[in-house]
Amino acid sequence: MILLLRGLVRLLGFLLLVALALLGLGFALAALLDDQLGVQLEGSEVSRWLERLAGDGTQALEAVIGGGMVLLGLLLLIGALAPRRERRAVLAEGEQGTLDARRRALTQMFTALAERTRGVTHAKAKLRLGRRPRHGRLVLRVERPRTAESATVREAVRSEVGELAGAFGLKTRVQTPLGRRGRRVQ
Amino acid sequence: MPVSSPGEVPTSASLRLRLAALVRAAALATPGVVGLDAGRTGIRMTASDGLRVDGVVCAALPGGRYQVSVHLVAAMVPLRSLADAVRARVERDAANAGLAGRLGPVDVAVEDVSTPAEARL
Repeated sequence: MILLLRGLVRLLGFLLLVALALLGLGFALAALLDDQLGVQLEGSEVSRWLERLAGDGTQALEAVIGGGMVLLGLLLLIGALAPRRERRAVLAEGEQGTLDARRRALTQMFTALAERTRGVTHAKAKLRLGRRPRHGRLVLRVERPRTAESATVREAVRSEVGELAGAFGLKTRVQTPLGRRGRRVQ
Repeated sequence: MPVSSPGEVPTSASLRLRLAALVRAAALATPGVVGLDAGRTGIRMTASDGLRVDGVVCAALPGGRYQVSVHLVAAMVPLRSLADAVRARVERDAANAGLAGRLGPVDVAVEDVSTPAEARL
């Protein structure tokens, strides 16, 4: 879903930039070749505005708008070109090298660990990694049948994932709602 | 062209590429390693002389050594001992190939995990 939305944003951004470039090109051509193109800028609002800009005195409003546009353009360029750093969970760092894991891989591991716990019918892990290494939050939503007590399942899941979560410095929260009908204990 | 074993790398190839091929083979031979992952865009690799070793990044360090990053897909095993096993195997194979002095730190990056449910498919 997120990938789809990202793709959509990129496509819309690209189309917007193309439209903006064509509009700018149109204005430039109209200003340069107004006679050949049959476009009359003279006497128009645009023409009067350009004359006022070229006139004496400071045009504070236009300067602020222009400066803002330049700044916005620079920010957009930085946003588009700056490489995104993927946040990774670091398990060990030393002279021998680093051991780290991608968020997705860890999430899969926690889900699998929780699903193999007795009394769990379905599990879903959500992992948020902090900016500093060995900081993050793990939320496990594990569904249970009516016959299993919430506290028992919570403790069982905690003991199953505790070692791995502790190694990555993750604060763990386990939610134990009742499972949907038809889901069976693994 | 992707390289899958050190035997496919000619002796005239760069040391960086030979080391990367050796590390790839060593990692794949370690129990608990399901595969190596070059990433969606294939950026995690070492390339030289028209050859490419996917999933291993070799970067030169001062002093003629190379830092190696292994990007792997792991089975559901303890990660710390998996990394130790990968490092031990890489160091042993590098020593056997006479490249022990060129091997720097070995980073292990777990890119994906193969869960039992996926393995059954």
